[in-house]
Amino acid sequence: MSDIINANPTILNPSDLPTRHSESRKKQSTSAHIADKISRLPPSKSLSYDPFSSAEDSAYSSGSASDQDDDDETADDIDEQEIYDLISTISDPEHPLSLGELAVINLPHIHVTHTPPTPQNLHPMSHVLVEITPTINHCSLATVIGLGVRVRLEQALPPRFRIDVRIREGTHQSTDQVNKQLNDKERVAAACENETLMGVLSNMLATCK
Amino acid sequence: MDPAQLYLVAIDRDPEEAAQIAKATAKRLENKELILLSLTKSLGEYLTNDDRTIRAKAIGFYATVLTALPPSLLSPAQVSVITQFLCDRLEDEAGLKEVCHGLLAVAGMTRFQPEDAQMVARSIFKSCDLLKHPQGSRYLVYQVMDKIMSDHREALKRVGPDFATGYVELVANEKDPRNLMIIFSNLKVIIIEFDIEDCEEQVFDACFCYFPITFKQPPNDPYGITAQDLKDRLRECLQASSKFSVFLFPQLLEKLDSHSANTKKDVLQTITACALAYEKSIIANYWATLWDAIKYEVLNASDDDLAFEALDAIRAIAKSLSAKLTTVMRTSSLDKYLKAVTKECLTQLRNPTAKQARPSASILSAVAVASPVAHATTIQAVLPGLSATYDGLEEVAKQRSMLQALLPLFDATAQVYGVWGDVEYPPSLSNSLEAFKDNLFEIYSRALMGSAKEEVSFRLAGLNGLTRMSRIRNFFADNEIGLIVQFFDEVVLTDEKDEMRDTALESLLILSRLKPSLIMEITFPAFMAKLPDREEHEKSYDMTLSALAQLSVERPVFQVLLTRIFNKLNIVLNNKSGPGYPFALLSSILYVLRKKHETGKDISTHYTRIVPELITRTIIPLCNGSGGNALSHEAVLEVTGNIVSLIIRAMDVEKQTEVLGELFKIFVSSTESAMITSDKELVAKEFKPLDDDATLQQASTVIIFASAVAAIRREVTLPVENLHQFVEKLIRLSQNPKSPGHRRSVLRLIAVIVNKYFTTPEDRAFLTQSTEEMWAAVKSADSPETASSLPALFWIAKALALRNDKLADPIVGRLLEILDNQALGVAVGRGFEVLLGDDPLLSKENFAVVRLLSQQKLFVFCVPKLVEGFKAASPAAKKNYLHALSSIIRNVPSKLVLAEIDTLLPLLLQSLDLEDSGIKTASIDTLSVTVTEATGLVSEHISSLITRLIAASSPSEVNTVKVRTAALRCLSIFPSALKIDVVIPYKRQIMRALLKPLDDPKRSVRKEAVDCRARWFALGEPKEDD
Repeated sequence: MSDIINANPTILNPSDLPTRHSESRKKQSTSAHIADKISRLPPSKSLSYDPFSSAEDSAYSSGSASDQDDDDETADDIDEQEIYDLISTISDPEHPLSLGELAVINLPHIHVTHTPPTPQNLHPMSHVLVEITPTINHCSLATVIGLGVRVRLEQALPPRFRIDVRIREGTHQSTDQVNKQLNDKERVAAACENETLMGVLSNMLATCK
Repeated sequence: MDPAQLYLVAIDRDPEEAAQIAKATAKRLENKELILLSLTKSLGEYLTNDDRTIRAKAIGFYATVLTALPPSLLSPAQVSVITQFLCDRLEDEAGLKEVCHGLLAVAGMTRFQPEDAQMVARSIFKSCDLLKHPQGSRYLVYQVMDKIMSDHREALKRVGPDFATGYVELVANEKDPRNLMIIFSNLKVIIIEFDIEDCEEQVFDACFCYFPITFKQPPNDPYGITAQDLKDRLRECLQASSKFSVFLFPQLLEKLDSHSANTKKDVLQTITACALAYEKSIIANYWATLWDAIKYEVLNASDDDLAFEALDAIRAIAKSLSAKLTTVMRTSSLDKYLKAVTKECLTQLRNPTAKQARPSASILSAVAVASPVAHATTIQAVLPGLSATYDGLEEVAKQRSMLQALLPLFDATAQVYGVWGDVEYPPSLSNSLEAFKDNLFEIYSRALMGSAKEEVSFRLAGLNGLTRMSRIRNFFADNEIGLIVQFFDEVVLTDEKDEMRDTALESLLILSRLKPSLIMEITFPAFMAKLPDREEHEKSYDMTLSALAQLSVERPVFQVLLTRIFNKLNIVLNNKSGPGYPFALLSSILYVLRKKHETGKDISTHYTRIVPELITRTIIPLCNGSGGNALSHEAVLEVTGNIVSLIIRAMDVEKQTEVLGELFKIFVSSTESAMITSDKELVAKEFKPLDDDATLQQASTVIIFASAVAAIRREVTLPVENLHQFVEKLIRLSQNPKSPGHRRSVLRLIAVIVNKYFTTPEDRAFLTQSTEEMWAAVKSADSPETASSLPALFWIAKALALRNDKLADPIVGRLLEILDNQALGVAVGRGFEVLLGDDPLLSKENFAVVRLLSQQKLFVFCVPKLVEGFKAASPAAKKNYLHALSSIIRNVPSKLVLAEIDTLLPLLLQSLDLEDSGIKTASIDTLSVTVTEATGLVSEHISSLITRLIAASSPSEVNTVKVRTAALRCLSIFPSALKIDVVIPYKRQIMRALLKPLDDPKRSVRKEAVDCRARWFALGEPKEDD
């Protein structure tokens, strides 16, 4: 137990962590669910649904018309919240807590930039910058955490993203050094060959939701 | 030959016969045909035999005879002689078991004297070296000890300290769980009742050497002894004497450093048990060392379970120190203990967002529940400090954590002082929290009502605090709780955050049980007033109705709700509402009825208030030329039907017969019915929903009628003269429907009647004939429109198939045959959805005949024909077979599908190439089950399966969000379901292919892709062992 670097860190309440509001409503609220059942008229499509009366159209799929809002095909862009959701559930290597709860990952410190496509470049690169705040400024695990974030994003983002993981300015005594390690392709690749390190990383990433 | 010799000859050959010989000998002794002395003497030569088995058998004979003797036969002197004789035999290692049997027999005799018991104990201690004997023999020795200890304890106590040491030496090194169970219970007696002053440590060691118990119960253990049994018995020994504390606590605390969670748990539980059992003065000596060690287990807990045990121990210490205290005393050991505890916790709570703050709060509540005095001491020690800290906090996050930290203290107070409605007397000591009542009320109210709306968890802490404090008996006055109820009302009605509204509503539900009158007086009017009088654009009523419905499950409240809702319904309808609002009003009634029914309440008693009212209100506007209102919208009719059906279902046969008669008067014979509460004549004259030329709106009310009839028990006869004619009429109606909804309810009604009532040979003949006629009409039809009997055929087949009726087979068989019919195939393929889908009306709860294997039978009947037909079908018709198959598969348990998966898998794979999202999703769902359940088969087809799933995961017209999601989910099952060498060759391909869905336009699909990719990524990667 003696090798714990920060035994009593500040933690955030899970319900205070940023979430995408419209999605959380469906999951949490029981009485909203009841309210929904009570007040939502069944869509006319399902009321008159009758396998014998409809013509050739896709009436078949209306058998499950109750959750038709899923069928709406408008695109949603990858935004900061989505990045946050990808990495805030990574576990801290030291505590049974998530990086979100420990405020190592914070929504305002994530920046996503999309370049609009031009006729010359139909698929421009996008850029994501994640700034990490270690719980204390001499945290020797900052590099491991940064690497975890990086590996997670590389797995989870499409290749058009350029990923930048940094220690937030002024939160660590050797920011530059760590940043150099985190953004050096060869060093990252070398780290990923290290079995012990990958073991630690896979445990951290195992809690990702 | 003497009986001993006979016995020795017989014993190996036939134990039964040997037992008979011993019994006969006992009989002879009893009848004085034989004297004991000569019997004993006759053994002499065998007992000196060189062969140890002969010596053992001879004693065995003697023991068996003794066991067979009546217990009161022998004189005291005889018993003593025998005991002496047997004790002497203990020196012979051979025959220990047999000697013990003999000793058990004499010890059970009436004239067995205390001196004899002492002799047995001494001899056993002196002569027995149990290490040399197997566990079965040892078991008997312990049984002898157990017997004399329970029968002659006083005599054994007189043996003095030698007894305890003797016993401890006797049992040293015992390891067998069954033996230990006896030993522990004997040791407990020795510790409590015997003189062990000189050998306390020795006795303690004899117990503690077994700590911690690491025994694992072997499978098929004949004795059924668990590790927990042993732990419990051992703990009883350890807690039996306060004097053990000197040895016990230091050693326990040493073991608390163990790495094994099991050991730690055992240590903490033992500390708890001992703290509660030992004298207060002892615990007063040890609390400081104990507290120092145990607090670490809470503050730095990595395991909730252990933290829980540690809190138990902390509480037990406070409980023990509370003994005999009735008021707070500054010099008491309890006070000193609590001072140390509260000081530590207060320090931690100064920084309430730190990790150790929450455990500190748990510690405080743990000691506060130990006793009223402990509660008072804790509250007085911490609340002033915490209030001061709170006032100095500037960040909301810290304030919030502080408010949360206090919540367990309120629960602790409720535990000590009870909640409203408890019947036990409260403690005589007054509740110390009362001194802080106003301050707490203010802080928590301000957090709830006076802070920024976005501070959800801060406001939640305020809300939870008020709820918990309101529960405490005699804490808040009714007007204060009334104010809190108003706060909660306001949150439920106006708050923008779901979580706030939900929690506030839950709190109101809690308070409705403790203070029902406040809810009726304050919440109900406030909520009702909030309901608008007309349909509004955004649904302002949904949350209110949901809240009202949840609060109305109790009967008196429900009566009020009904009155108010019906009034509201009138107003809303007068304001020419659309169907949405009336639908919601009625749905809330339906919700309460369902809830009541689920909780086992009789809802049939609500008939009079609800059913005639609703039916009259629905029908009158359809008869008076006003053109109807929102109540005759199909969705509203469905809800009304559900309400009527639910209530009728709960009635007995007699009541149902009466109600059914009235329903038929209204809907079928158009005569005046008592169920109509006004304008009976008008209804009888104008309401003819089953007429061929009925208006759409009148015809649609069949929805209510079908729901009501479906709920009728089979014992009740339908009040029509000719049921066949009635069904023929319904079939005709189904052929010329006014709307799809109308047709569906007519068809359901037909199905209900066929399933429940068509049982006689005449009925069956009628069915055969009419389905023949319908079939003839369908066969000659050239389009789905002209094949108007097709739906009825499906529904009748369904009704019959549900009760495993053979009449279903020819109908289904014919339907299968026309799947490749160019004109009808598509419609027939879809129709199979009806056949196997669950229907809400044709259900067991509605007294329909639903046989156990009906789905399976239908499945077995259809699938081979479908597979055959599919192979032979023209390319255009293949789709119809897949439609039918997909309808069947999604409605039967996956177990059934798996049994046939060999033949089905190729079809499923082909259906993935179809341009139909519904079928695709259904097939992928089935495949998902297949992957985990039929791994062998899937492994064979893995390549084509993966290709198709990947294809299905990229967006297109057909690959809707649902299809893509299903495909990615299915793919993500592979890595864990299949053998690694089967899947690993595909890892690279999949990792690459999944890059595309990572960029899917829909976020929910990307999420699935990320999860799927993570699973494939982890495949074959090293894992850290912990």
